[in-house]
Amino acid sequence: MNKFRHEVSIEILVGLFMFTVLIALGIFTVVLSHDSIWKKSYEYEFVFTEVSGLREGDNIYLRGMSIGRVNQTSLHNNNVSVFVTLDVPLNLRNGYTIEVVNASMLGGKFLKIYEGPENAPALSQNITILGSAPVDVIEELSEAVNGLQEMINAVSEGQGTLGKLLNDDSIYNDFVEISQDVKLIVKGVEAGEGTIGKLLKDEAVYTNASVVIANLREISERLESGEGTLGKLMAKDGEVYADISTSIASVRSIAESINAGEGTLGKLVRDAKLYDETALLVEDVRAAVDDLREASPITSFGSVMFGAF
Amino acid sequence: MLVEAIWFMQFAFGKRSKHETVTQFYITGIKSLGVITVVALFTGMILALQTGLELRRYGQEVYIGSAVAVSMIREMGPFMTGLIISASVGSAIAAQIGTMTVSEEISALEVMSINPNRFLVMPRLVALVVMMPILSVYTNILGIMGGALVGTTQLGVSVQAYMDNATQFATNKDLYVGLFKAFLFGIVITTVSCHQGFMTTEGAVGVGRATRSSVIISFLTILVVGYMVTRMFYL
Repeated sequence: MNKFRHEVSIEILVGLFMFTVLIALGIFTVVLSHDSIWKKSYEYEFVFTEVSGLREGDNIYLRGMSIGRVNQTSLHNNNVSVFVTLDVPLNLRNGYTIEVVNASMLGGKFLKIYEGPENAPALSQNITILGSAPVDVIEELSEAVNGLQEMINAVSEGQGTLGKLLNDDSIYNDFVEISQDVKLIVKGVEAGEGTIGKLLKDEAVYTNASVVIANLREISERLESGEGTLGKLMAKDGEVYADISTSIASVRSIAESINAGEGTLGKLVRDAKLYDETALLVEDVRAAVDDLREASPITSFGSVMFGAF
Repeated sequence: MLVEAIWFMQFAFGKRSKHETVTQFYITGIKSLGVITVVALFTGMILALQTGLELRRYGQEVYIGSAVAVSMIREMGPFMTGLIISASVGSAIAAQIGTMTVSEEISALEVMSINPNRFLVMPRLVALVVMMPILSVYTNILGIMGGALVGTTQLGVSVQAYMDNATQFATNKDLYVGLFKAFLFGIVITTVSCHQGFMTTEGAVGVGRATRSSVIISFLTILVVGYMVTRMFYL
C-alpha cells in the first residue's frame, strides 16, 4: 500500500511540475510573440521600393508611440511588401509618409508613420499604402564628411576668401601695415597734431568753443527778450507781424487796382492804346534821330566852310 | 541502441514500463530542481551584473533585461541545463548501467529475453528528451528573475523597465530554438551515458572511468551540438 502511495505521489509531483512549467512556457510564448491576445489588432500592407534591412519584429511608431510590429517582408515584382500588425487603425490623409528609419547608429530599423496634415482630406481604406524611400544616414554622413574634407583641402590650398586669409601672407602684411599706420595716427593725435589732435589736446580750442557757446546763449537770450529786429520779429506780442500783414494787404490792394486798370499805372499796364501810341512815338523819335544822323556831316561841312569866312 | 530505444518509446507509458518511466521523470526532473534553481538564478545574476556594469559606462544599464533574456533563452538556459543534467543524471545513468554491465546483470536480462534497450535505455531517453526542454524553460525563468534581482537591487533598473526590455528583443524563435537544443542535449546525454555504461569493463575502476567519460563526452558533445544548432538557425 505504501509503495502504491509513493508511486502515486511521484506521479502527481512529476505531473504537477510538468503542468506548471508547460503553463509557464505558454505564457512565455504569448509574451514573446508580442501579440495582444485580448486587444483587437489591425493588419496592413505597405509597399516600398526598398526597405533598407527592415526585419520581421521591428517596431512601428506613430507620433512617437509604438503601435505595432512588422510581421513579414517579401519581395513582390519590383517592390517590397511589408505586412504589419497595428494596435490602432490608421487614418491616412493626403500627404502621409511611411519611412524606414534607423533605430540607432549601431543598427536596427523601425517604421515611422506620419498620417498627413490635420486638414488634408482622408484617404480611402482600400488604397495601396506606399512607403517612402529610406534615408541612409550613414551615406548622408559620409557625403557630409566628404564635403567637409573637400572644403578643408580647398582652404589648405589657399582657395577662396578663407583659404587666402589662412594662406596668403600679403593679407597679413597689409594688416601689419594698417596697424602700423593706425599706431602712427594715434601717436600724432596723442602729440596734439592735426585737427583731431588739437581738439583733444589744445586748451584754446576748448576756450574758443566756450566763448562761442556763451555768445550763442547771449544772442538767444536777446532774441527771447525781443531785442533788435530779429528779436522783434520773434516777439510774442505779434506787433511787427501785424504791421507786416497790414503792409502786405495794402500792397495786394494796390496790385489789384493796377490789375483792374485803375489809375495811371493801371492804364499803363492794361490799356493797349497807350502802348500803341508809345510805340508810334518811339518810331517817330527813331526816324528823327536817323534824319539828324544823315544830315550831320553836311551840317558839319557847311559850318566848317562857312565858318572860315 | 538509440534507434532501438526510439522504437521502444511507443511503450513508454505501457503497463510494464510506466513505473520506470515515471521514476526516471522524477529523478531527472524533480530531483535536479535544487541544483538547477541555484545555478539558473546565479547564472542570470552574473549575466546581469557583468553586462550591467559594462552598459552602465554608457548609461544604458536599462538594456540588461534584453541582454539577460536573450542570452538565457537562446543559449545559457539549455546549455546550463545540459551541463547540470549530464553531470548529475548522465553520470548516474553511466554508473548504474556500468555497474550492471560489470556485474553481468545486463547479460542476465538478455538471458531472460528482456531487451536492455527497452528496459534501461528507453525510459531514460523518454525522461531526458521530455524533461530537458521543461527544465530549460524553468532555467530560463529563474535566470531572468535572477537578472531582475540584480537589475533592481544593484543597478537601479526598475522591474517594469527590466521586463519590458527582456520581452522586447527576445522572440519565440529564440525560445523554441533553445528548447530544440535542450531536446537534442537530452538525446546526447542519454546516448553517451548509456553507451558508456554498456561499454564498461574492469569492475569498479571501469565504472568510475565510464562515469567520468560520460560526463566529459556529454559536455563536449553538448558544446558542439549547441554550436551546430545555433549556426543552423541563425546564420
